[in-house]
Amino acid sequence: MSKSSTIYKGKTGQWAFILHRVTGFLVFLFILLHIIDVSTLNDPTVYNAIHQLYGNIFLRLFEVGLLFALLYHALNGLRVIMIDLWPGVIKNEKALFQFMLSLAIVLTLVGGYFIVKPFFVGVH
Amino acid sequence: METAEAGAQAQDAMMQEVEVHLRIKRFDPDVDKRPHWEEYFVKLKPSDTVLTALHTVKWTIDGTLSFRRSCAHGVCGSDAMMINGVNRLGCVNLISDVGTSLVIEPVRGLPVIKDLVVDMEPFFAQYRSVMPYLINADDPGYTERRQSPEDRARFDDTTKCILCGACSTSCPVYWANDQYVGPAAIVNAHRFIFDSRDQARAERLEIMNQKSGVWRCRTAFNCTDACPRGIKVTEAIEEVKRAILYDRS
Repeated sequence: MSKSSTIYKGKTGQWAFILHRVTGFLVFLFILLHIIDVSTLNDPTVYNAIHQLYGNIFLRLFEVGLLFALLYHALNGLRVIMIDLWPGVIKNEKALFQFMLSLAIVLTLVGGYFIVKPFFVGVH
Repeated sequence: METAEAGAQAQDAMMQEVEVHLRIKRFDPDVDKRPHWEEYFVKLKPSDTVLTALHTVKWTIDGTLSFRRSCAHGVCGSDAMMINGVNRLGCVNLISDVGTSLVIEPVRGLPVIKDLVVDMEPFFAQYRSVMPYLINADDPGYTERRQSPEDRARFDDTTKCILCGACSTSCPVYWANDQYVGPAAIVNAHRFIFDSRDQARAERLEIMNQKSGVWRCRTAFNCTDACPRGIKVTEAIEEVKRAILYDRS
């Protein structure tokens, strides 16, 4: 009786849509952060101090998350464009979602390796 | 012999009464500030429908339970509701399909009047906004407006709509944006846009091209899954989108 709200049990399309919104918003927040960190460039010591921060493991992992958000948003965006423009694609939209999500995960793992690697072996 | 026996057993199982647990989201505007959940236990056969379960509650346990139903056979479209997290018609889903533990809520995106009864007027206003009737100024005389089987087949899928609202009220965009005409209105626009006898194609595409029209669709596919008539709703919306992009003169 305690549960007052329930979640609509849509299929992959609903979750593809929600994940698209969430990753889109996260990428937008990152762009704001990026504008702030780049705008510190008129003082090189502040700029360098801030960009030193990006080398720590937490922000490197954050960047791996950002990479996934970017990749998913871009690839699912392509999926939606394909559904919109090509009549045949809609019949395979679920498989296409699974393909795009898998591709985003694989590319995130590959990219994540290069993002996290310098933390363990050093930048130089 | 064995299959006949198994068939008879299966038939017996369908006739055997089971206990059905219902959790229903109740709201009485005279008493409640916000909706609350009520639980009911009823004995039903697996071959009974969810609507029968609601009737059993209303007729034997709590007469104040409100819900809509008219034909009770999946034609009138009165009893769209959220059953175990998805929009379904109560009258065409058997207990054997949906299980003996049911969570039933009113559909989302429309104001709740009482219990499972929602105000359908916004929905019908959206329906009317697409001019859901044949527009043709030519007088055919004392004959039918003839059409080839191929031309008729072009919009066959979207003629099946019963205006139950299951599609529109399953759409995440429709929940959040009360300006969006919703999948059902687009389905009914599609039914005339692709009808070779209709002469108002351009006007309807113009309505669909508004901010409130097809471009609000984000292809979440909940509508297609929710439609009790199996209409490929998202596909119809995509066809209207492409008609606006490519076909306008």
